[in-house]
Amino acid sequence: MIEKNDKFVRLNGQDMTLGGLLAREIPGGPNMTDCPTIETLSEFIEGKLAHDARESVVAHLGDCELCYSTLAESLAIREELNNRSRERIKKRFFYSIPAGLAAAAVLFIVFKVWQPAPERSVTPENALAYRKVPAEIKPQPKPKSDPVVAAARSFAGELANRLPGNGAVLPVRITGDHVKTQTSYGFSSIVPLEKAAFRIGACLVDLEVSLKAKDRKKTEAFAKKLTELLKPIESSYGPLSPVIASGDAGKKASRYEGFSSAVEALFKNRKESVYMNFGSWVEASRLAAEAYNSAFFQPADIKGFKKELEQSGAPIGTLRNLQQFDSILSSGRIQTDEFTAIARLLADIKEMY
Amino acid sequence: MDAAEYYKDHLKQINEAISIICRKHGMAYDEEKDFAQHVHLQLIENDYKKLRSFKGSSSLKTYLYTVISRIFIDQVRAKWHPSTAAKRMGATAVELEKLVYRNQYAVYEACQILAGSPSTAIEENAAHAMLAKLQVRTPRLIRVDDPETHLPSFPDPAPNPEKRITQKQLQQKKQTIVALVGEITRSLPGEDKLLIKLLFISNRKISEIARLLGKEDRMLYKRTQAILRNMRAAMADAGIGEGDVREILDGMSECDD
Repeated sequence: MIEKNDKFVRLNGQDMTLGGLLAREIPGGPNMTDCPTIETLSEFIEGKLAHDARESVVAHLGDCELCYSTLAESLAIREELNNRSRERIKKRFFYSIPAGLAAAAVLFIVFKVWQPAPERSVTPENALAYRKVPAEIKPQPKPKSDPVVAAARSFAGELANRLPGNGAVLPVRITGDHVKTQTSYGFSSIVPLEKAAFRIGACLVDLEVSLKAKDRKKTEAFAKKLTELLKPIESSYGPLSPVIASGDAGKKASRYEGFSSAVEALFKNRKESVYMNFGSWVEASRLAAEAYNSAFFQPADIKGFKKELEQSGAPIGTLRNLQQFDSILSSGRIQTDEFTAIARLLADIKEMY
Repeated sequence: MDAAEYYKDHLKQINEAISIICRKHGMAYDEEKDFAQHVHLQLIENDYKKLRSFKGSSSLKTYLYTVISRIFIDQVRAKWHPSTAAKRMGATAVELEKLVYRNQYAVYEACQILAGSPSTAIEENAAHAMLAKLQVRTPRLIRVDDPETHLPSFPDPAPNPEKRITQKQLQQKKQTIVALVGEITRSLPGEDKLLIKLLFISNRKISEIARLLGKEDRMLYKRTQAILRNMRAAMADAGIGEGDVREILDGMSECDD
């Protein structure tokens, strides 16, 4: 049985024969003079004709064999070309996916499995090439209603008064035995406290920003992270123990605020406090750069940190990045590209810690 | 952008459309080459007149496809001309030849049509005899999707008497059906005629027809069913039962085969 399958039409063989007979018996009619133009027929095919014009063309096509044949041929061409284009797309996908996977596999092998041996001599000139360069940060203008951005902006302004520069004194005291010459290009495992202090400083900023944004989920996450960072040094800092114990379980914002001030108090007069402050400053500056807020950037802050970090034996990459940051600020022109560059430099510093 | 640029930019689509038409109608390589040349000439002549007359109310691609389709239809029509033998035999022979060989009508159907005008009316046997004298011509328009059904029909020069009786009975029933169908088609509005032609001749999908006519699919489906139902009812009124219809339809299928 022949079946014409369409959405609604289920015609059996007899229907098809009857319909075929009926269609064949529809008289072609003589050549008509009032045929629609080719463009009108094209419009009809595309369904662009207005109701009245379409009705008139339909009535004409029912009787005019010439126009009907033209329509039928044109529809057939369109259908065939559509089918071909669908086939082309299918083929493209069919071949491109395995080809893409193969290319990805080759790239993976080239970059991950096969790695060239590193050069043995590391000099200050080529040190940057060995440093892991983080992905470029592209600050996207965020909507004004974003509470995190608003909080970051406000925090950046507040922190400006707390940190060195603006006449403030850096609350650190560097002891003689920690002063080293700048020969290291990264922290070694024997100085984990500086790294931890930096991360704690950065995390405190994140905690404060999320608190201001009233983002409970993020606040809890940062508090948890902070607790983890403080655990290795808990024994050295006895006064913080009750705060650490309650920090991650605390549900009220006031608890977290207390947490923040307790950590700051903990680092007071300690040699690592410069790293904690630096961590806070880097994170706050990065947030300010991403929020396009240049008010926070003070060349005096950079100079102050640079001086202290030089004395405490900070990685040379940190100092170079600070130098570049200072150069950007000195140029006096801070536009989108400069904000991007600053955010990248600061993210780069964060990567080192 | 001027017409020449339109032409150059759409050369690929033009050639694709030409190849589709040629393949659909089973053209030989030489015929395809000739047709392609003819289409390009038509598009270029008179400083791209056909392209310059495009006003932009439809897409250029659809316009080009329609132009190429019209060129093809015009060529098919222009190429058809009656044979010298038919011309020598008179107007009836010319019309008969045209109906049978160009329009693909069966001989009895052609006779039915010719009976409409007293000047060209002819008996079926006489028509067979006349066609036997004419040179058999292959119509230009051949559908290659089912080529066997469109082979040129060779009229039986001398059917045997038994077969002749059976054929005569069948023929009477067929004549009744053709007359009935003729009546039905004449009473159909233009939209229904187009629907039937698109559905049963061009094999378009009902959804596509609905989009063209600006109607709902379901409505067109109901309309098609109603037309076929009316056709069956008219046959029943004329004393042609379901079995007769099947017999006639089978007979017609056999004739076609």
